[in-house]
Amino acid sequence: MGMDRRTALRLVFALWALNALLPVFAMIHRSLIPGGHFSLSAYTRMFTWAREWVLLENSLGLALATTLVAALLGLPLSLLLARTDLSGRGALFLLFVLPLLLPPMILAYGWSILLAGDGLLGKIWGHARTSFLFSSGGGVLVLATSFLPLVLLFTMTSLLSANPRLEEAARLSARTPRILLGITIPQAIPALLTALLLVFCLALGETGAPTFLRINVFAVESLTQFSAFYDFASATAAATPLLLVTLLAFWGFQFFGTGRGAVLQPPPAGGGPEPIRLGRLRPCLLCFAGLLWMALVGLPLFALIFRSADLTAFAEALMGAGSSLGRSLLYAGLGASLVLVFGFLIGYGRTGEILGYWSEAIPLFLFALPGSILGIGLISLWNRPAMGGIYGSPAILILGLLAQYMILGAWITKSALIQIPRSMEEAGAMAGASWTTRLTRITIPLTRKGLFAAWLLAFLFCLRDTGLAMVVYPPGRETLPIRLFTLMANGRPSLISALCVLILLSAAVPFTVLGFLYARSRS
Amino acid sequence: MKTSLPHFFCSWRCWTLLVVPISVFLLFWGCSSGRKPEVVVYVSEDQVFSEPILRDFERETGIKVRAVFDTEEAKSTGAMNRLLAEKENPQADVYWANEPIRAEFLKQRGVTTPFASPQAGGIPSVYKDPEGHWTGFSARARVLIVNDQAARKPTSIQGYLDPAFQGKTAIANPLFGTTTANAAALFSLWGEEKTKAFFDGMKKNRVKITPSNGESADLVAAGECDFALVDSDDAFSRKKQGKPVSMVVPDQGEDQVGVLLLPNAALLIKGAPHLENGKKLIDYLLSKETERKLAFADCAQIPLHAGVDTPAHVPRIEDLRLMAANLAEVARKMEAIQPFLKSWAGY
Repeated sequence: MGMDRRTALRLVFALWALNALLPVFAMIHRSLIPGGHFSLSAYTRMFTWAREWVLLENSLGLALATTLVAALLGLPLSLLLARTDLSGRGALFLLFVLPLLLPPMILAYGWSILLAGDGLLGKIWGHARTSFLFSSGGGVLVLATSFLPLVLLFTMTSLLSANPRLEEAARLSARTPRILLGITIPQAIPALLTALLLVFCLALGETGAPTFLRINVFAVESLTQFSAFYDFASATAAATPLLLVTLLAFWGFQFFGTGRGAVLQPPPAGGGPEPIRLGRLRPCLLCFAGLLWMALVGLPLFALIFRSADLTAFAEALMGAGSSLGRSLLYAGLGASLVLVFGFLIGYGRTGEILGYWSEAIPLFLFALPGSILGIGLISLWNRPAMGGIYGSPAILILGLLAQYMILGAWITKSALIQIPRSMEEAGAMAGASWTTRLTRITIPLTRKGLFAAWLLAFLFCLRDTGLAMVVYPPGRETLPIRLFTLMANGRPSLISALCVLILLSAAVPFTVLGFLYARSRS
Repeated sequence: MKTSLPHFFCSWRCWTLLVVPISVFLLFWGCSSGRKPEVVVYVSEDQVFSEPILRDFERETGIKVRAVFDTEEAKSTGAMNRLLAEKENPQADVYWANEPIRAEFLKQRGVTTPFASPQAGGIPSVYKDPEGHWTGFSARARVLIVNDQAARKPTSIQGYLDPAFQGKTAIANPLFGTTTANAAALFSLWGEEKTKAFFDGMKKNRVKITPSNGESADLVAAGECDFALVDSDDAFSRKKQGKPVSMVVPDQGEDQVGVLLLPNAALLIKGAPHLENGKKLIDYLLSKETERKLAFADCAQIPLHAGVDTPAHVPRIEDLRLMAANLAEVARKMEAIQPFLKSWAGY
């Protein structure tokens, strides 16, 4: 007789939590026992410095402003791209999603090329050009552009899967703007808030772009404690405000009652709601969307591409980074697959209320935790003679990716699972099917689109990871983003730009392979 | 039956054809390492300069090099933190530090073991640890990168205090990398009072504090600053990129403090898993041939051995007035000055 559902799902969560939390506990242990004796000095020092309050203010300001800008741009864009008859919506969506494929620092690098003395905008704006980029405003621009795709993905999917009957009924007595405000947008609010919570956590934990743009935030402070002082205790203490802020944000999210409705569900079988006809506004809005893309994404990306428009640089980048590219795809594929398996089972447990709030709060905290802290924790935990098979291999990185990005799998599959009527599984149970049979025969087939979306998103995050990979990648087996980061010091600008473009293209490879397999499976 | 992409993705076929075989391959790959002769090296020297040397070693000896690269430019937490975190169960055999201060720090933390390489014979003793924990090779100089459009050209680091350069100078955050070493060297030579006055004077003259030497060099190259104190490789690389900059070796007058040379350092890790291969790599790094290659590379580093060929633009050690700093003492000083540097940099 198989294990019962409740025990199995709790066991799965316990397994994930052990993998994710033990490294964190290892770091907390190090921070509380520096030099072999119990001491709270790292924490008291951290919270009594006036500078820490300034850092907290900077971190919250940057994360909140990024979230706000992402919301202000994301919601209207989602409506435009998902619910109207705008031409080229699909292409525009793909263009706006491009920044998700890159670490935010690369976008910042693209802007710095543009604004440099010999850059396109640098020549126009003169000496004041870089002051905006290297400020909180520049940070918000880069991070909001980088994380805007998350808002689009979540909100657009929600808008496309809305029940068309509500709008059809409303159309009998109301005009489009009122329907949008009264029905369409409120339906998408839970998905929008889910995305914004992720954006907030990502902006809070981001280190690459703020370091590059010289913005002092908590995540950078934690990194500084590592890289300037090699002080593991203070680095861990510097991350505690992130824990508190993340948990507060999560409870706030639950308080407003949006947790359950957060959605990335497939469109209904009968098709989504009717598109809104833009009429004469269509060309204007198309121009607006195109210009917005050019201003946010196109300019820095073209700057990178233009600088790498050198065949020798591309050839050199490919020759030097070919194996890194293969490894990146492999690690990201495996990381995403594990994220999906654990995320699905934990999301399943959460939907059935077998697992509590903590099964979402803890993964969310891990998502916001700077990768360097998780990485040092993983070393402390796994670097033992008996564990060479894991620590000395890419498995250590995969375990880290699973710990950090599991929330993506759990949330997306949870929202897909919510859409399945409970009666389906109950009917299976009545017919005598075990819970594993119900899972494989009923639940998984019905949520396959959600699972696919979860895998793709997890893949992208694993592919572009640098914080964790920098600390734990096995010697001689660096990933492509790591190679880019280490070559940025005194590397030829054209080679660096070529590597940036290669990272961008590398994200397209798995999609091409899947498309090929799809075509084969259809034939 | 129509098959959608998500349907295929959720099928057992996809997982048995793709995910499981790849996982098995990865596990096999992870466990198979260690059968061939290999050496694991953690590197803080810029990858663009160090990787070709390591590839040459691999080709010449047949020993596979597995490297972890790190850069202070990216403020990464890689090599040094790994070495400290892995102290109880070392994974690395060799650490190639880009300056000796980190090397001394690791020695003090008990991460390294002494090794007297036969190749170290010709290297001046001031660039070697007396106990053999680290040995210097191929040095960078701390130089001034000066924009060609600047109205005046400074010849000394005292230019930072000159009102003519107010708001037009840059320096990398002294909490990081070679600027820390430079600050510590000044503290050891000038004493606390004079050095603190110098740093406070820089601040009063509105020096721009940047995250790295590379960014200081970029500010000068872009014309936003007249000059900055950087590593010689930062200055050479900007010049090679065609930027309108010159390199000035500072303080070469009779009564001046001289230029600080910061060599790379090779260290053998205590408990190294491939000890003999690690020693071979250190021998290779300390050789005249490696110094020659690093002199002719874009980093244009200054050989510490006498009689090594160098290109015309690389200054010879015998032609320079050197800062008379004891590097081991500088490393010890570095910890003592951290509180001052922290408050100076606004931490």
